[in-house]
Amino acid sequence: MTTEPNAGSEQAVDAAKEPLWAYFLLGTLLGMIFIKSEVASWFRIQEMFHFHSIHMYGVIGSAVGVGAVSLALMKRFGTRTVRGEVIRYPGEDEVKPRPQHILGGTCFGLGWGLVGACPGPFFALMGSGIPVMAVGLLAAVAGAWFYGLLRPSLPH
Amino acid sequence: MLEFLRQPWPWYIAGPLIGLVVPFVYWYGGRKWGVSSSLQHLCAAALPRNIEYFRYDWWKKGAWHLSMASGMILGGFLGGRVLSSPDDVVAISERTHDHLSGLGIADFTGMVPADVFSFGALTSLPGMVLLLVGHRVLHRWADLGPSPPPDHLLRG
Repeated sequence: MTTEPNAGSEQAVDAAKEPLWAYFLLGTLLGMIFIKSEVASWFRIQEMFHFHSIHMYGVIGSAVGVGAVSLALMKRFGTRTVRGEVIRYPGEDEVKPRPQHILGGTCFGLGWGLVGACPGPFFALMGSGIPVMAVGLLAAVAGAWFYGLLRPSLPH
Repeated sequence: MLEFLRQPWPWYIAGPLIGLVVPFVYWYGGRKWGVSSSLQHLCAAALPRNIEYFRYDWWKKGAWHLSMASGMILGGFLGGRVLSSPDDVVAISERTHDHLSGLGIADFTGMVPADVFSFGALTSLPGMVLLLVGHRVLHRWADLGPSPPPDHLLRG
C-alpha cells in the first residue's frame, strides 16, 4: 500500500474502451489460484514465516521471476497494448528502493504475519465461505485510510 | 480433469500463472497490476473526507481494480467450494504442524484455523494476539522450553 505511487501519477487510460468484465474474469481466475495453491491459507503463511517449506517462496519467487522476465521482454521488443497504445512503465524514481519501502514493507509484513492474509486473499477467502475475513478486510481498509490521513507527515 | 483441478495446485504452476498477470494487464490495458490499490479506491469511494490521497475519480481510476477484486470473491467460491480439495487439510510441513499444535491450534481443516478465525474468536482478540505472538516470545525469554498448549487462552 505505502509503496504505491499517488493517485495522480498514473496515466489516464480510456476506461470506456476497457470491458470491466475482463478484469472480473481475471480476478475470478486469480481468486481460484489463491485458494487452490493455498497461498491464501493461514497455515501456509505460518509455515512460510518459520521457513519450514519452499511452498510460499516457490509461488512468490516464480511469480516475481516470470513477471520480471516478461516485462523485460516486453520492453525489449517495444510491445504495445492490445489497442496499440505505448505502454508507460514506472520510472526510475518510482522503483528506486527508499526508506519508505522498508518501513511500509515492514508494516505490511506485520499485518501479514498476524492475520495470515494480504488484500487479494482477503477477497478470495470471503468468497470461499469465511465471512469473518470481511473484518480483516475492513481493518486493512481502515489502515489504508489512516495512511492517507497521516501521509503528509510520513517520510517519503 | 475436474478431479485433477480439485487437487491442491503446486507452487510451480500457481506462481508462474500469478506472474503472468503482470504482463497481461500491461498488454491488455497498459496498467500496473496490484491488489492493494483496491483499498485506496474503497477509501476514496466511501470516506474521502478532505484527504488528498483519496481525492480523485475513484471510478475512473479504480473500477478495474474493484472489478478484479469482485472477481476474486467469485474465484474464492469456485476454488473453495466448487473445486474444493477432497482432503480438506492444507499439507503444511510436519514441523509447522507440531509448532501450531503446541500453540493450541486443534483444527487443521480448511484454509484458516476455525479456532482463530470465527466471529466468536473476535471477542477475545487480545487473547488471540497474546496466544499467537506473546506466548511464544514470553517462553523464549523466560527460557521455559517448548510452550505447553494454552487451552485456558483458547477457551478464553
